[in-house]
Amino acid sequence: MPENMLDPAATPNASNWIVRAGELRSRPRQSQILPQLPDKSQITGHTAFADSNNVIHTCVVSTSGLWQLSANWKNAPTSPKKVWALVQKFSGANFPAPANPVQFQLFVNNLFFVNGSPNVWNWGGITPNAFTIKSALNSVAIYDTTHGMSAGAYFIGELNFQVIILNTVEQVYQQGVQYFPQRVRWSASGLPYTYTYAQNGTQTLVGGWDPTVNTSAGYNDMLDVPDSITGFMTIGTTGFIFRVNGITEMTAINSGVLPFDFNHLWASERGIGNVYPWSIANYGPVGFFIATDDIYEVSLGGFQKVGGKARNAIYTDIGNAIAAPIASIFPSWNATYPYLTYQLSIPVSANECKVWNYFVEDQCWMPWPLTNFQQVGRARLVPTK
Amino acid sequence: MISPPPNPDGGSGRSGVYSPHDTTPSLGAQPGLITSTGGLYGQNNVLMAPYYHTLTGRFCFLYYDPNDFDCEDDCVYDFPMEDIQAGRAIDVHKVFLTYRDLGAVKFKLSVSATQYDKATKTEKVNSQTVNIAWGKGDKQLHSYYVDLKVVGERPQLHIYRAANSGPLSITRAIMCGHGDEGQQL
Repeated sequence: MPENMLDPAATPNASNWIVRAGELRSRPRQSQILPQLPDKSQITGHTAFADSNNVIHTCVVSTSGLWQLSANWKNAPTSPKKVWALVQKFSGANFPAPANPVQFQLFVNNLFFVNGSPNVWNWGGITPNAFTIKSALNSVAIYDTTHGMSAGAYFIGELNFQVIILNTVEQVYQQGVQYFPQRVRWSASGLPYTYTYAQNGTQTLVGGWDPTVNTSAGYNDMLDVPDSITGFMTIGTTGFIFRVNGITEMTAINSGVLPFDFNHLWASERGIGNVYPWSIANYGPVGFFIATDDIYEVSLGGFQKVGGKARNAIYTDIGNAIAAPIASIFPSWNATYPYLTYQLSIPVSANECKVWNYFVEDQCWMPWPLTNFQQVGRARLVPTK
Repeated sequence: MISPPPNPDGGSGRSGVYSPHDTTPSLGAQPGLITSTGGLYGQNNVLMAPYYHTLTGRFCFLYYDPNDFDCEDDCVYDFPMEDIQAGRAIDVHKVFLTYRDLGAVKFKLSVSATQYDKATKTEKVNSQTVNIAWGKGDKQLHSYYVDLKVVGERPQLHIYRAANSGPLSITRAIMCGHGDEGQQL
């Protein structure tokens, strides 16, 4: 839109501002809060969860393994060893892990995550000790227990007490690792594990991912749509499976052999979908994704375009991107600054990323160009003490 | 007294059900309880994101401090052009600002406008820039008036705050002037 046709609330050019309830402020100061990991591996994501002892763990996944934030780190730390404690390193064929942004799911005081390897990784925050033979970090999704074949994915979620993985990566017996970009796989109800462990060291096969062992586990290949899965979010009791050119509703109908009903909102070769795999983010009943024609907000009220007058500028940056954008949504910047924000980080050149912020309350966008930095995982609000 | 956090180095950890509000060690003698590996109280939530620093080749966590609006980078804001009456030059002689005082800040305010010369059939951009400094950090709203004189079509207000120049917050900006000075065409 020409500069002389804009409404007073819009701007033809702006950078490094934050909008706070109608106030235009220079954006918050940026600085490093935590240093690199001790082994200098690539960070691919972080989150926090409460274990069954109600202890909080702020975890970081890298290409080398799972780490957690130590309790006794000091402000402005310089030594990574005093900040990060290793939970467990990936090993064998799983090291190094893919550098994709990690997707997390918390389920019954346990952390689950996928990173594009043939594993659904699980850590409960519990110390392996004499009463259990369970290791700290486990690959839990063995879908073929006869041959020990495991599955992983690019996306993970939870619906109907079942952990769901999408766009799967699976070990196939005598055929190596294969990709199934159209596949949705779910665990048994309330049991996303292959084995359970007793304190006396007994390991019991429960087959929570193997449909031949536990019939409430299963999978669905969405063969009647032409594209691959690029994201997943749940709003209420409905899961939304995003594809490049469409969206499929996934509704829980029972806890039996066929627990989900799949309904394609669009099954055509062209339709509104989530084009960029890491651009989807949701918080409570509000979610965002980037389609080919606009950026959409999803809520209980339906779909709404939110690109507005910033759309052209955002899509120009997306068009210049040298890698996939990474999106985050967070309810506050810290406890004193509660403003729901959708943040989209676009790597526009080798030395610059453009961080576009959508302030949900004020319904406006603001770009923050960052020189010499590239975002490698989602922004998240996590405890640090 | 708040109990100490679990052993951050992993391994044994603290026995029993852990809560930051515990005042006495409990259940420590029960051998069947499984302890946590490391962990935190769950306080001091911070929004942070993993970044790769392209100059040093390091991966680290960055955060934006919402208690400090002294941005370390330049802040630029261009308001829309005011297309008040097509074909007429506008005489802008004052800018009225309302701001929240977040602390000492320096920035530049400028107004630009395009003036068409009917005789030579050329146009030029008139602009005037004013350096402004304010702020004691009382967090209250204040008014500020800038006197200047810029003549031309489609006057536009610009704000430029250099990196590390202090926290700036503007709640209203109004250009004042006359819109009937003369027809250009």
